[in-house]
Amino acid sequence: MFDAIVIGSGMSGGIAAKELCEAGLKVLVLERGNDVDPGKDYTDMVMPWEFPNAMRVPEDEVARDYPVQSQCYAFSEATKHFWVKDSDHPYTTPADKDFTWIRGYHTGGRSIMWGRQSYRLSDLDFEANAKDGFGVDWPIRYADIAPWYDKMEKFVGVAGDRDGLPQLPDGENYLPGFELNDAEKQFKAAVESKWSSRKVIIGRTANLSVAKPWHEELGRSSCNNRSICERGCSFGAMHSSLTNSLPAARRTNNLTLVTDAIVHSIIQDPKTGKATGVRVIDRKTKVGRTYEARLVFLNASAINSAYILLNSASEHNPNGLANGSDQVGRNIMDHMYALSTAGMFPGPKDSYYKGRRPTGIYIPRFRNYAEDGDGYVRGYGYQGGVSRLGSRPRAGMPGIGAELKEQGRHIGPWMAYISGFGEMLPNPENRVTLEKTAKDQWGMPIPHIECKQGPNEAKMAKQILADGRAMLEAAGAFVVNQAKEAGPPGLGIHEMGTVRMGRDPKTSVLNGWNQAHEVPNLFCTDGGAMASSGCVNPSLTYMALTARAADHAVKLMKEGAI
Amino acid sequence: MIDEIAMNRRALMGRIGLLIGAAALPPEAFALPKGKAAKKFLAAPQFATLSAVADTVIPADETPGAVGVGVPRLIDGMLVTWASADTRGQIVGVLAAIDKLARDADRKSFAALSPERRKALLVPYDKDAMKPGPKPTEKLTALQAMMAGPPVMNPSWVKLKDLIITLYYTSEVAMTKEEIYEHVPGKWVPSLKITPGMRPFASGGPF
Ligand SMILES: Cc1cc2nc3c(=O)[nH]c(=O)nc-3n(C[C@H](O)[C@H](O)[C@H](O)COP(=O)(O)OP(=O)(O)OC[C@H]3O[C@@H](n4cnc5c(N)ncnc54)[C@H](O)[C@@H]3O)c2cc1C
Ligand code: SF4
Repeated sequence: MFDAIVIGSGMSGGIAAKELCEAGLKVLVLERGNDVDPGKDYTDMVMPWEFPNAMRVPEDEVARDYPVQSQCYAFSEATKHFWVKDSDHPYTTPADKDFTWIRGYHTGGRSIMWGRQSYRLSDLDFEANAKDGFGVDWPIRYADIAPWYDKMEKFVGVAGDRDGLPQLPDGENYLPGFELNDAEKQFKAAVESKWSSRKVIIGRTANLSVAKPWHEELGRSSCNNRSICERGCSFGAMHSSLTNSLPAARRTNNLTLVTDAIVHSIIQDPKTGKATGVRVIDRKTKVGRTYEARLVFLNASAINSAYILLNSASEHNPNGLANGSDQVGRNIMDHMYALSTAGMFPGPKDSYYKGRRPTGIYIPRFRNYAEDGDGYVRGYGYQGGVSRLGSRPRAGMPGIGAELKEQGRHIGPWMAYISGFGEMLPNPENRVTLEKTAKDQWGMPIPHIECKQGPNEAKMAKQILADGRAMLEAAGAFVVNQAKEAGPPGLGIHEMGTVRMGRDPKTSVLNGWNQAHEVPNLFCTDGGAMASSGCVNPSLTYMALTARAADHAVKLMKEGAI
Repeated sequence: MIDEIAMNRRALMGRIGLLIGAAALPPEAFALPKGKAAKKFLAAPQFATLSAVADTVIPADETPGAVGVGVPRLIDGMLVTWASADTRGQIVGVLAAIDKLARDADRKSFAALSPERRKALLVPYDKDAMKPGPKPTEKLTALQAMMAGPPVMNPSWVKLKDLIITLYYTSEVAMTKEEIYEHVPGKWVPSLKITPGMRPFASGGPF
């Protein structure tokens, strides 16, 4: 019998484990995938020319095993082992509703491959549902979560500037922000002089620009500016659950991590209403077993957490556990992604930079904030950068021989690139359900995902592209490439909303402490909990919600309330 | 752990060094590949055409060219370890088409032509290949479509040319001689004055 079970060892599960272990609880983390050994599995010390096949995954293998995962920019021969085989982990969608579900099943989850962009939500986001009526009101406001953002930013190490923007609150504990290059400074000046409401700032990122003693205690060191973080960082200079949260949990001697343990369902005692433990299927032997605990944290990532609740249906809970509201699995949101504009930029001719900075520029939200939106609610931000175009010759341009080789020797021209991340509204019809008959190799029902961007998203996408072009052109860039539409939902890799927080048990699954309304010792603190999506990268918010909920759960346990 | 990685890396580097050293010897340019490349796909005449094409796209000057860094051998290997049957067919088809070009014009194999003559034939072939072509039949995602750029007349040639360029510019020789590559740059220097003759920095990942 453990004090607590944490389901999933990724971005949010790692923090749950750390916080609960540090509070003195004996914690069991159950991870469905294999363990990862940084010494063997990280490929960041392999030189580019040492990879087979020019770092490309064999074409037949991509088609057979990775048709979905290969759509992620970070998928390559260098990182292949960090993505699920789609062939082993099937899901279904309606023919006309693509959903690109990007996943990593192993210790650390997607915190190993993530892009590290780390921003706070603000009250603009926490009040949005109440103001415009989409979704249910968040049961918390910025002031409730702010101290937990502080705590998490200090622990993970977020490098960023304090920009003083109300819609993008600053952290107390930022490490020095990475600096803009000269062309980015020029771009910033041009955009900000034309629009006082728009700001160009350095991307806030979970890379240790300067490691602090509490980072070094966990074996982490400062960033070496290589920008190959998705291969795993042997310097521990980026935050991952594997090399930061779990080691912090482990040093308390309170952590037990069991890998290859696929959580099948959560067991509830119908008399007390409390969760008593979980059923697990061993990934390798396919044999089932159960674990018991006084407290359960659900951190399997948004879609999987909803899936586990749905799969925990019983006589007493025919619709699934904690699902009296019928909201479990609904309201999938993902940021609109790939709304990119690129152009040749007239940057300073004799200026260059050195090193590969692991972040880019960020343009915080201005629509439906300081500037009106064109017929939609909510807003968007942009990520991007201005960099020297790789001068390597391109196969799709005419040219061969000495001329081609000579071209590759010249430092390329400046290119500016910005890509919008747009907020998606909660819509109960965007949902995950369980297939009635189709099962996976472990005998578990296959998830069925139905998700589509709606009219609000379509209008927003148009303005994301128009504003992107306008900003590039205002800065003197010549636009050469622009997307026409957003990527399919899922590809933003910010899927969330399926186990939402709310004030009313009739319309939400979790209360203001991420505690299930119907199961007092069950907490879900991954992206499932999000009542709205905001437009910033969400993982920092998941971590802050997790630390806050863990603190509350421990208090309730000590009071004997759960 | 870092030490262990560094040691393994040295061992690996040694091996790569040998490979490149071997390939950089006065190139028996169009002979069959020797040594490490265990798996081969192309027959000897096809391999000779590939070597001649690679040498024409990226010739040696003060630095080794595509043949010098072993690109033909690597492509031949990739036809076994990486390419789908469709890609293999396209590459073989392009090699045959280019060889036919030479036989029709000069009644010699492409590999048997002088470097000047090869280039004279390949420049217009390359140019024609880039003319706007029909839309691809396979469904591309929005992102893929944006990355792929406009469709061209001869995508198979672009595919082969892309392999030659990519393998050349990810070779240790090109990344350290044509470009500057530091695997562990250390500091981020946001502003650096360009000096005459300065080479571009190579990147090791998607960014
Ligand atoms: C390439 C890439 C770039 C990204 N960039 C950013 C970024 O810049 N900023 C940002 O904020 N976010 C980014 N993200 C998203 C970020 O990775 C996720 O938001 C975050 O990892 C989610 O945390 P999580 O704990 O919910 O899930 P995960 O980190 O995915 O962890 C879930 C874990 O649960 C396990 N699990 C699942 N089902 C079960 C089960 N039934 N039983 C047991 N274990 C189970 C999984 O194996 C996994 O280890 C990026 C993601 C990717 C892939
Ligand atoms: S850029 Fe920094 S964090 Fe990323 S892999 Fe390199 S050293 Fe690690």
